[in-house]
Amino acid sequence: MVSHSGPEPTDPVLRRHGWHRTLLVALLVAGLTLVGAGGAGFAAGRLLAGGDGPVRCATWDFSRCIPGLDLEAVLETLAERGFECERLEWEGFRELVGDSTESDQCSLGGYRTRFESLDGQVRSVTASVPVLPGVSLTQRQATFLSWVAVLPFSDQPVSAEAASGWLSRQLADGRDGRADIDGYDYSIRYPGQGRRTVVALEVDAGLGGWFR
Amino acid sequence: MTGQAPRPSRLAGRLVIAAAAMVALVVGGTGGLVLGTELVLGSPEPRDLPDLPPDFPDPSVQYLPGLTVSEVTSSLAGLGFECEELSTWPGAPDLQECLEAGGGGRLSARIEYDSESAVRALITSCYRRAEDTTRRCEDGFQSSVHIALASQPPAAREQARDWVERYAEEVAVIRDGSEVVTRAGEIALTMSVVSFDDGDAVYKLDLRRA
Repeated sequence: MVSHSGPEPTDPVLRRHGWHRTLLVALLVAGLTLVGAGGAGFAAGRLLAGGDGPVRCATWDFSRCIPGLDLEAVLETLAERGFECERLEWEGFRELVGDSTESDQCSLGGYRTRFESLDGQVRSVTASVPVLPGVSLTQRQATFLSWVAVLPFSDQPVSAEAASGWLSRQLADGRDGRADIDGYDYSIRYPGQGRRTVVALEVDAGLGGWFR
Repeated sequence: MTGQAPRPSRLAGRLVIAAAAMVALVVGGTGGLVLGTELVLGSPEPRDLPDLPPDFPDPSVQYLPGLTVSEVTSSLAGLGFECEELSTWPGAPDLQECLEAGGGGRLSARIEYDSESAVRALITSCYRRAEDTTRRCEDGFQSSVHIALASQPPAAREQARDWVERYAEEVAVIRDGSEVVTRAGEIALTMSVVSFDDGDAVYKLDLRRA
């Protein structure tokens, strides 16, 4: 069945079936490796995606959202406190793929907050309070900003502590700042030379992951 | 024999297998990792929101603390002002304008409010002629500070008085058409000046919740 000419391969498998057998083995090894590596990679990926940070929004693109933040409940809570909220819905190319982009803005006196969301999943939160240059924030203003800062972490005390700690240090310094807290992009901006302006805090889930 | 495959060397065969394994490792690992991080496994359960802290902003942050419309008007009446309600646009705060009786309208106070116990602002305006050296404007402003900051701690009232005194005296400190702002206690004080070619100027002091 097999002709014996030329140098003899010592491997019995190769000797008997030649390239066909080699390819078959290679395919088998590749398949097993693929499944193994894929499984390991997937497990590592789930582990990476877990934790307290932002998760991918349930949309077609790579936007990140704040997991478990119930936008309607937040808006209701604010409205019960006397805030007036209004919703802007953007109709853009997302309409084509069935997604919607909303922006909810709530204000009471000089206290403002804005939620950017995709299909009801919050992507970023902004809060601002009026402030005067050289004058520290009132306790109530700090409380308001702090409430917004810990919104992504209502059931994660350690991360919430990190966020509120960062905020109070920034407020004590009275300076602009930026920080990555558990994958969220926190930034605070103080007014420039203008006289009647605001301190703005932004919490952004951003693109995150591979695109950060 | 027909259909006979060429026989590879042992080394070449192992290289092919190793290469296939490497490619599968990289492709599988990367694919798995990306899938693992990017895959959305359903929306996470909505979390319960913690209760709002007691000092979270409430509707009172729009109003001068501890002040009623009748308190303001009676205080102004005691200083010789006469108040009357003005009509406003629907949705806008109610207004009362109080003019100094016999003062030729040079000193006036305006009260913005939503209801009797919800005073948004007390705004005092004073028209000062270039040759006027009296303390008419300063006194009017100090009176409005006295009324609006009645419930503030003494230190805040003192601070507001000093601030008003400083800016009411030093016209040049405030750039024409601009304004200066400060905060005393829970009250924001804004002073602005608009001056005319002949040296006359209108001063305005706006007191509202910071």
